[in-house]
Amino acid sequence: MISLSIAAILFLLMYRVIDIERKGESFIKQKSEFSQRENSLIRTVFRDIAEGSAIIIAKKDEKKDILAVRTENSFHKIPNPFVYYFPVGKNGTLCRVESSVALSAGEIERCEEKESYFADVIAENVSFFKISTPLSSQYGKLLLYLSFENGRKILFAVPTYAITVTHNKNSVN
Amino acid sequence: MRKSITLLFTIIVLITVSAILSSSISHFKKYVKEESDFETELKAMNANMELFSLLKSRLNEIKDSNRLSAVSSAVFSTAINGFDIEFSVKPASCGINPNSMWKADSKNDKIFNKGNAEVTFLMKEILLESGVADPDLFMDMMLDTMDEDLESRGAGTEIALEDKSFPNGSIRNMEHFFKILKHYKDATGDGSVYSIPWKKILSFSSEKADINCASEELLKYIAKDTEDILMENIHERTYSSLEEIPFRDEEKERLKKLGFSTFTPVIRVSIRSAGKNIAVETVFIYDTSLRKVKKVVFSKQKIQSGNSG
Repeated sequence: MISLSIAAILFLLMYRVIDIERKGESFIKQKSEFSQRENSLIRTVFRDIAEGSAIIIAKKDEKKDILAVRTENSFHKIPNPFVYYFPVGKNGTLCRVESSVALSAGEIERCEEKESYFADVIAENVSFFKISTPLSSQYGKLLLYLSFENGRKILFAVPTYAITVTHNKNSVN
Repeated sequence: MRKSITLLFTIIVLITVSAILSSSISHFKKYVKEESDFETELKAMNANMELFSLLKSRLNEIKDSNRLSAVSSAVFSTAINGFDIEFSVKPASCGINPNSMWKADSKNDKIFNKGNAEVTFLMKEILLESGVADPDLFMDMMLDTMDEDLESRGAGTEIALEDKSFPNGSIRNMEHFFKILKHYKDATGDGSVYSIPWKKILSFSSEKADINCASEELLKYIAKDTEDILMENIHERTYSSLEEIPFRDEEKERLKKLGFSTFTPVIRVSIRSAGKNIAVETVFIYDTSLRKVKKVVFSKQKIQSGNSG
């Protein structure tokens, strides 16, 4: 009788351990996927800017900027491409457009791929996307601030040697 | 009997629980490692940029071939904040720049090419000597890339018309040049263009080329009659004038026309920061006369355990 009770307790214990482990693993997996997406976003923006030779920052509205970079970093094997970061739509999709030629704001705002350029969605539900300019024209750091609709915030600095120009209108040319 | 069954059951439960826990721990460890590697990568990229910024004032002192030669013969290394850091300085422009074949000049609404004819001639020579089946087609593909219009010199020579993601205008780097090779190969089926050691012949950093780092392969194309033994030892010393090079006078003249000099102010600075699992190398192409960074490129390497390089 005692042996059976111990066995039953152990069985219950095992069931609890499996349940907790399953929840824990799913939490870690979720956290890991989320973190990978966020790390990939930071890595991509970092490399685009740090490997950039010319940067244009344009103000889209009070909460969002447009970033245009001529960079050595390419997702799509375009040599020295023009890269644009552009928040589109009501759901705050942050689009990264990579092109072999300079594009106008009108061409990139739909975040659609065309023959001459590629568009990748690199973040969603972005409610705030702002970039501050470097302090020195020779070498400085761009400060990027993103906030999401769920309250998550990302703030990071990227060193750059690129010539940086700021526009206060909806233009990237 | 009953005791044995209970014992067996207990052992099975313990084994199952430890297996589950170890799987959970390994997932957690993987997650922590990914996070730590990413942090190392970002820190290394930042460290390389900061270190270059600190080195810049010293790099501006490199103003002649002897100083560049002295600096480029060494690899400097140090350890800072858990990173093993190595940096080296080399001349950046050691080959001919194919972009010098095209220079637009307009007269009466017509555009003429006032590019470097000697570079064009050398490129044709290289293609012919390597048995390229249609050198004219290849040359036209290059010229149609470099001129910014979309008018074809011949059938299929304007690559940007066929491949919309192909950048038209000056050839930006080796990857861009290799796209032209691929289009030529696709158009003709002739793979002989790949047999030419382009990486040792071409450079895209400057219009000028530094004779002190020019490859033996390139110099053999320029000065064909130079004895092998002389060519093999050509880089035994640093030249401060083109007159010192043991070539015939007409070959020295050719070097000048091709844009060679004994020093170009464009240097290649490589900084590599190696952390626990990740190393990041950053290459800076820097013009010491203009004091301007022309290019920055990162590359990431995973470090295998027991191997720091």
